[in-house]
Amino acid sequence: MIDIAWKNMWMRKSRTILTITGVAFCLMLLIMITSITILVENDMNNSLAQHVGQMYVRSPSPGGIGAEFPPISSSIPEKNATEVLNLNEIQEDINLERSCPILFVSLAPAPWPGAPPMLGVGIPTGKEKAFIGDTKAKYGNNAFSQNETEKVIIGNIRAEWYGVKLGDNISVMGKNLTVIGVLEPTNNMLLDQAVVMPIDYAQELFNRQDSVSCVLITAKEIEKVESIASEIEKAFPNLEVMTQKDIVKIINNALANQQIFMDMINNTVMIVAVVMIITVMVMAVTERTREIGTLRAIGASRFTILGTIMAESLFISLIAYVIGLLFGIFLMGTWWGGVQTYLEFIGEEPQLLIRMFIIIVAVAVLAGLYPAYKATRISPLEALRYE
Amino acid sequence: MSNIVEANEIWKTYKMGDVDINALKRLSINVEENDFTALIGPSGSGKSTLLHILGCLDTPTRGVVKFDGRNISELKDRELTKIRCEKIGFVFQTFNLIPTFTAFENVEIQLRLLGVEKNKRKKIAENALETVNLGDRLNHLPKQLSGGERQRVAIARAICKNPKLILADEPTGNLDLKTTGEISDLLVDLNRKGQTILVVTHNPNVAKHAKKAIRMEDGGLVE
Repeated sequence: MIDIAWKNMWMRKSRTILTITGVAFCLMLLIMITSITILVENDMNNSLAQHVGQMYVRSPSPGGIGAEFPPISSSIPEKNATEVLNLNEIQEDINLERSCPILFVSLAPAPWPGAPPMLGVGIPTGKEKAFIGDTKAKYGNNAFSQNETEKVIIGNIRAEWYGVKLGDNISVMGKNLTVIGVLEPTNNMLLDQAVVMPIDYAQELFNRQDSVSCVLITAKEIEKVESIASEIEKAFPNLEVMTQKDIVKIINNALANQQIFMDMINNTVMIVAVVMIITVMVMAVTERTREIGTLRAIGASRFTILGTIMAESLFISLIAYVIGLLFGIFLMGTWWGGVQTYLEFIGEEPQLLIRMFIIIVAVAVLAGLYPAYKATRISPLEALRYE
Repeated sequence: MSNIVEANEIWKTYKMGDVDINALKRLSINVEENDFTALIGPSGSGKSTLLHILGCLDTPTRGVVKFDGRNISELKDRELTKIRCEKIGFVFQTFNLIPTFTAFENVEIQLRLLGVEKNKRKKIAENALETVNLGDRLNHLPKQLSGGERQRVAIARAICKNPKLILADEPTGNLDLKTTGEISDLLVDLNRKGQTILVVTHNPNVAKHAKKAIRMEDGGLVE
């Protein structure tokens, strides 16, 4: 009976093509949303990996210690930051090369809930590694020279966003700043989207003289993190220390929020696909009442009729799957930095395709059930009289 | 000769609001093997209703109909479907072919429903279409065939499974005089080969080909 389903599907070509297009579009959206979700999760995890052994000393957060990362809303006097770094009790345990005051300023809001904002980052010259880590420069430098102003090092995504190359100017707060370095892609969205500049110049540019957002402390050994945090909190009761444990909490919260948002979109898209197929299949069943009646009269069982209608729903969904997948890969490829790059991403995340396949089969079954049930209830006698 | 189907004092009553309408009233009829019976009568006399009940598409409100000795009122939908599939060939006034299937596929589908193997299906379907002189129209869609040819495809679909009974409901109702003659001759020929046929018709030319003509009026038989 599969051939009946296949031939019936093409009886109303325009309608079938429109339905397939609609479902393929829904699937394409699902692929894009799911890819972004996976990307953000990976980025968060990569960010987390970079924060091993690190802690941020910040002003008290109104939402609690785990409410914000990075600590953009925090502000502490520069003098206090220096005192924290010079605290005798922690000197032996911290990596001074990777510990420094930092100024974080949001340049643009997060592109979607849970994603990190696009940041302007002020960092003392010579301490770039505290924030950049071991990331190399794709073009130019990954560190500033002494007394450099109006110069920036930017993350890979930020460079693409501005469409700039080495030596080009970008405008921040109305000032033209020269790009002296573009970092290699890191899969850490915080860094990939950052505009890094010397902290003295950042304080002037963002009108934050004599204050910084936080002090970034890197422990020499992970085991020392808790004792360092406790010493700082004892010496500076007006400050909070956000350790990796707190960052994990923030990241998990952010991922949960993002997941809710993405799930809402995914579910809506799925419902739209199901409704589209149900509408078309119910119309098809009504139009084919006589044909179904004939089949029942000559001996087709209710189960055979059910199978025929379900097969049609499955055909529509599977064709839409292939088309949606191809367009999804093409569109995501253009956004991702090339189809090849996106295919590599899919290669690393094969569960994406499996998940999409399961979803489309579920859509086909859900959408096919009602029309198929309706078809099985058609009385052959009534159907033969049907005009 | 044994009875293929026997109806004993059957009634068929439809409810139209508060009013009961009796389409069949205490009607009894037997169809014996190798019969060629024509049911004639005016519109609304209950011919099609009787045909549907004898063909296991419907059940009587009262009375007993036995097909091959089994009371159809006691059978489940699945069992009635099996009887229709294996033992009854239907020929309808409006042909009722599947529009997306070729003549061959329209016949073959009946064999698929019976579970016949693929290579056997091909041979049987082609033979059936040869029998109705459509051996050269195997791959034509219904819309590419004339009315008479479509009805012959429907007859091929009915005979391909070698049914116990062919039920034809106004098989020539949509055909011209010449084609009506051809279809009547075809039915006579099938009956000569041993096929049992019950045909509902308005057309006296078709009825005169039958071995027996039964007249119906107002839900009952008039001999």
